[in-house]
Amino acid sequence: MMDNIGLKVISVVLATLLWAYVHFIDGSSLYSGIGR
Amino acid sequence: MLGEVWSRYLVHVTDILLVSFFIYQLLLLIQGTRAVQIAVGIGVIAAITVLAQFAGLPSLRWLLQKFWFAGVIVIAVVFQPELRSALARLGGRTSFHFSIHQEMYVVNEIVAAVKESARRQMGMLLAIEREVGLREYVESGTPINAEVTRELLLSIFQPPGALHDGAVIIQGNRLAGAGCILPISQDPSLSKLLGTRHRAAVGITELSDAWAVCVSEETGNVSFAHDGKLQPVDPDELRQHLLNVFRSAVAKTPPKIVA
Repeated sequence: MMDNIGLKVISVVLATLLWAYVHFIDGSSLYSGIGR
Repeated sequence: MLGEVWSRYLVHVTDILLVSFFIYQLLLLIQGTRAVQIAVGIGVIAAITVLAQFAGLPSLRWLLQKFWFAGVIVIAVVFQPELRSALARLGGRTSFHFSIHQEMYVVNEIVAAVKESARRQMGMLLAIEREVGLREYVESGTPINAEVTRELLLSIFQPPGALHDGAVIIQGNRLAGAGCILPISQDPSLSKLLGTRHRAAVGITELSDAWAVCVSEETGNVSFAHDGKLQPVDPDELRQHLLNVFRSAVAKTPPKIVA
C-alpha cells in the first residue's frame, strides 16, 4: 500500500516535471508539432 | 468564464493527471523487474538532455538529440519483455470454465505429484496459466492436452524421459504441454545458487501473471513463484496457494453446482 502511494507521488512529480519542461523549456515544439 | 478557467488552469491539471496515470501504470508494470534500472538510466539521460538544452552545450545537445531520435526504437527493444507482458495483459484475458469439483481434483493431483516428486528428489517445473495465455510456451514444447493426473505428471518428469527437463504448462483443468521452454529470469537479486529450473519458474511469472511450482532435483525442496518472486513452501501451503489461484478464476465465472 505504501509502495503504491510512493509510486503515485513519483508519477505526479514526473508528470509535473514533464509538463514544466514542455511549457517552459521546450515551448517552441509545443506549437510546431511533434519534435523539431 | 468557465471556458477561461478551463483553458487557463483545468486543462493543465487534467493534462498532468492523465500523464501521471500513464506513468503510474508504467511504474506498476516495471516494479520489481530489471527494467527499473533501465528506466533510471533513461531518466538520467533525459535529465542530462534537459541540462544540455538549458546550458546551451551544442555538442552534447546534438549527441543527445541523435540518441532520442532513435529513442523510441531503443526503448521498444530494451523494454520488449515488459511491452509484451503489458500487451498480453491488455489483450490476453481468458477465463477458466470449470467447476469447484474439477478445481479440487486438479489441485489434489498437482499437490500429490509434487509431494511424490519431492520425496523422490525428482526435478519438476509446473507453470499454471491464469489470465495471460501461455500458448507460445506450450508450442515451444510438446502439446499434450490431457487431464491433469498425478501419474501423468510423475511420468513426464521421470528421468531420463524425453520431456523431463522442460516445464509442464497447466491451462485450467488440462495439462496443455510438456517439455516446454520457459524464459530464464535475469533478476540479479536471485541467489546465484539457483539453477535454471528455478530461474525459469521466476522468469515465466515475471513475463505473465502465471504461477509456477518447482521441485529441486538436488534437495527435493518445493518452491512457489508468483509475480517474479520465489518462495519455499510445504505441500499444504502449496495446496492453499493453488486453491486461491483457481478460486479467483472460478469467482469470475460462477460455478454451476447445486449444493
